[in-house]
Amino acid sequence: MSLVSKEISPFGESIYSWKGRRQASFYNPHAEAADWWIKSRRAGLDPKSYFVLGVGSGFHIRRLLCECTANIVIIDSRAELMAAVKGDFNWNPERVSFSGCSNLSQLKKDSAVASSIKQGSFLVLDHTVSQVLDGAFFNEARSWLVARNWKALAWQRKLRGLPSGVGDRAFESAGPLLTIKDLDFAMPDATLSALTEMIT
Amino acid sequence: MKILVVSLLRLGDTVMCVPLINGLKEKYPSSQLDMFTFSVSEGLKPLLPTIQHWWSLNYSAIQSGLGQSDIPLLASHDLVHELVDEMNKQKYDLVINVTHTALSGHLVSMIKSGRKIGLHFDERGLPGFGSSWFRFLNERSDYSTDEIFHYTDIFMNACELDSTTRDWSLDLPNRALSEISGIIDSRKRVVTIQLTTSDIKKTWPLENWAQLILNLGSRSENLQFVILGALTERETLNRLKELVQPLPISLAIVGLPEVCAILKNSDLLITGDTSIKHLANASEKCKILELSLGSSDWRRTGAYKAGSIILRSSIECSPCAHSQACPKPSFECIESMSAETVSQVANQMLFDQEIRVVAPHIQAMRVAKIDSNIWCCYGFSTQNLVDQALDRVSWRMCLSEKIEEASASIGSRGHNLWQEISQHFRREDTQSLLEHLDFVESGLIKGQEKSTFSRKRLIEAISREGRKSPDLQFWRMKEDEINVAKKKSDLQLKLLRSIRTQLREAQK
Repeated sequence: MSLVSKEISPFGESIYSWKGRRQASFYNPHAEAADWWIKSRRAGLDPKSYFVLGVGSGFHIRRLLCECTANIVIIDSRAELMAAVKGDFNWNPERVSFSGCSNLSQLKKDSAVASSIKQGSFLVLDHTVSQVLDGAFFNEARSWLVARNWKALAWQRKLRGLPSGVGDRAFESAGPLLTIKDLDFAMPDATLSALTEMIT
Repeated sequence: MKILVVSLLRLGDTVMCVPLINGLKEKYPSSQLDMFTFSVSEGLKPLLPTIQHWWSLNYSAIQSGLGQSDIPLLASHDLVHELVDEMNKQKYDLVINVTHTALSGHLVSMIKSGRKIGLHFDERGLPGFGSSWFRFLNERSDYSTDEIFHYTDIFMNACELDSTTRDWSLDLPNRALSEISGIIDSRKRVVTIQLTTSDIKKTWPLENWAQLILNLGSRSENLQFVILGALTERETLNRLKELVQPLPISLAIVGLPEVCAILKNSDLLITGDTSIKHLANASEKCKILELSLGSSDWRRTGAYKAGSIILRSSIECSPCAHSQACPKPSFECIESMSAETVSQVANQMLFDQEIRVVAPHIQAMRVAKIDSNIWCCYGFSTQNLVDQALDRVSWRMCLSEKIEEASASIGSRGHNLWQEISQHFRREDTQSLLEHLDFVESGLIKGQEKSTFSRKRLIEAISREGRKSPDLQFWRMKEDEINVAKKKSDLQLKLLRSIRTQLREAQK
């Protein structure tokens, strides 16, 4: 039996449900997506890529496409839902990638994820409705993308062809969450020195 | 030629670069001029169309990216790096960093350029300045020093634009002039007021502003009060409107081009330490009355226009450091500046009367130009003006010229300086000024004797301990300092004697 079901909203939009839970507002999915963007956006930060954790019914992705010029990588563990949303809209393949990953190992091997990390700046956005039934995976994915721990940071640096920067000194200095000061201590460069000035 | 000017502080600091930008354009008319600022300064873009690329860094966004655990650790790093990479595509021939902060120094270090002026760091992390003027500024970061130049003069001299007229003009869009036609009443004298500053320590209370407006309004019916403010300050502006009722005031919640248009049509601007006072330098008509409170450092960032008046508190802790909390139980410098005193001076300025201030702990100072272009601000005493003139002109010669050239030009320099000083001089003060010059001369001679002795001891120590001493670098630095001070003091003495000769001749 399929875990995905589809309804048509009063305005003719496809609204998907996962295990009986609607993934977007039935009556006004566009207003909900606009609200999602207002709450999720980081004013003043314009990255090259966005990782969106949760495909939902795709309305928030469509909103994001209108709001920025960045590339978008959608990460979700629900392959069936992802396929449905992917086929429902004419997504620009140059800007939008669907990464179906259900565990960390798949995430780390995913080519779209790797390519966006290599490309440069990125932000991670949550679609909380999507995450309700598989919170553990999304938490882990977020943690590795945000990379405020040495292992995740080493993975991202390796993807970029840089030395991991993880040494004993680094492990000793770091608190529970890595800060830019820890990085400056472990692998100093001019950018990190500049950024450290912003928090002192 | 491609030139990048880096100004990474507040809006007012970027406005202080306007003469530099205009001066560079005049000196290198076919050059490409770009700016790198924080996004708060982007509002200046329409006023400076000579700027080809305006790079901006959103300081608060980058900073919040560093501190929030849900933002990737590398996001701020990547964004800054990407911005610098874009800048590097321009292949700048000259980068001028007018911001004297470690942050700007590190960022400028990442920008590739044939030449850098202003703070930057080399691969070993050692600072470079690219100009004796920025080195001088670096050595005078202490707020207590009086041996300092206005920042605009430092920028101009460091970029070898010392003889260029300080051109504060901005390109005012026609749209801005038509926008303000409904605000300004051309039949009246316009008093423009900027209520707020960036810091509570520098902000005069709203009740005082209201009292000032009421005082001025009661003395003349032919005044229009225009109150400037940002959208976020609407509530404050409306509160002021209530406080001054029934006197009408015009609220101008407008952008920077419109502010400039208002200033162009204003007779007087009364403001704290704000970017608006620097914008007012572009207006030929508008006089500037600055209330210098808290951490406002009038010596480095005061109103630039000659004839401006700066009112400051003379209490011992003034000006305090930006980062320092007020050490007093209340803001004494603000409390000492009454609405009555400010309205008295504003009235005198509006009606071209002699400026007189009778208030304890308040000093009124007039802005003047010496040595053609150098800003100085003196407390209505010729002695004070002469002291500043001697100090600054000798430093200027020391920092910009070779000693032989400087010594050779002393005669003409002293002559011109006296011509400038004598415009602010009352004949009845001749004797007291002569006595003052004798006093200064004896102080300089004593200082020279002392430094000769110190230098001798240093040379002895260096030759005794040789290169082995761990203090050698420090001693060498000290020796350099003594040599520069000696050079400056020699020039100062020669200038002083030149002025004294002319003063004695004038006395005859």
